[in-house]
Amino acid sequence: MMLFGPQLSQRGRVVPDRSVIATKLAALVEKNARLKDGKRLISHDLPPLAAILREIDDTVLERTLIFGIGQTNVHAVVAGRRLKGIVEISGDVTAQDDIVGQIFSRDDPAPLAAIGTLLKKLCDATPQVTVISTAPRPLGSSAEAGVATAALASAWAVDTVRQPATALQQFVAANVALITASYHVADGQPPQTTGDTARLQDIWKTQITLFRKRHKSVVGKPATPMLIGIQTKQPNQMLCLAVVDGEQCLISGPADGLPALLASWTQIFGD
Amino acid sequence: MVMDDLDALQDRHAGCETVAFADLSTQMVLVTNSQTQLRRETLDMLCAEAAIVLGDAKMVMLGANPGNVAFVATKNQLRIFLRSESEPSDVLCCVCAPNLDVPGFLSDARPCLEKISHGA
Repeated sequence: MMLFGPQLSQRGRVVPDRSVIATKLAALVEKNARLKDGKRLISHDLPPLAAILREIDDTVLERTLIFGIGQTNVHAVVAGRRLKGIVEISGDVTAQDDIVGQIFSRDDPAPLAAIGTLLKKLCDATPQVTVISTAPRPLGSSAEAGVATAALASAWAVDTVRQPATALQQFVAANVALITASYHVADGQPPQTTGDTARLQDIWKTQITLFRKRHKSVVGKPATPMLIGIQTKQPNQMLCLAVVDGEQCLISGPADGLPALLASWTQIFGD
Repeated sequence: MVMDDLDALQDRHAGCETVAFADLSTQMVLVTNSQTQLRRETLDMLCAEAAIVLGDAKMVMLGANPGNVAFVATKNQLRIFLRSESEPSDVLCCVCAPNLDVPGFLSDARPCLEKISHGA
């Protein structure tokens, strides 16, 4: 009997894909979990490689984690917070003999470096990474433990002590497809920007203080979190100001993205 | 009657609580739906907020051009300000639940506003 993927029961009815259900249930119990095409998005608050390492570090019982990076799926056997090996690479990247089927060990750095290079290349091209946890696939013996995340981080030069992104940073990252530029300012921090921010910088310097003062004079102490979005027709654009406690972010993009941005805002910051 | 149009719009959208037709040039709410729970001063505040976020030909507070639609989303409320295409001073100020179907509401609210604006 197939364990995963849509199946037909003996009566010919379609049986739901259990791994998808399991992923959704796991995501539902996790605070702020995000799904993308039924898979759990893991790179919303950390850089992609650090997010992959976090998933490995969170996996105690033996599982096969399928990391989705762009059109490529990397099937990793993980147990005891260690990466044991890669059993399959599908999609854009063809299987590589120096990686697939190898048992990773600190004593043999070449396969470790090879998978690190491949993952980095994939993540550089597509920063969104998803994961599905599936049943373990056989790889090596139980005596072959694999490599712990600390050693992986060292081998791949990944900074794992970096602070997770704030909710507002996560909001911007989750909606990168709707945004052409963002200008994010947190108390006492240098601005973080994406895209061409010349116009947003100008708005920040010349309008924000007065706008917020005028708005406050009308509504009293403004609520936080708060998203103000404005659609203009000439040109057909949106301009948003997101405020979450001590953080403010100006966002610009095509006007038709604003409803989706609002829906995402409600999902992240709503009651 | 304008109030009937506003009532009908509000009735069709479960997440919509208040719909007010306002004139930005005088910053006055002219008519609201009959079921609104908002007091006069809150309606005035709503209209003033519309003027600030939408802007007009003389003064734009945020960005370079006046807005045709603006949203203010908080944890438990979504305020929508929709400007008439034919009469830029005419706006609908709406107070809604955050989970409102925004595209559906806008596609319904636009013709309602234009109808009111032409008849007002």
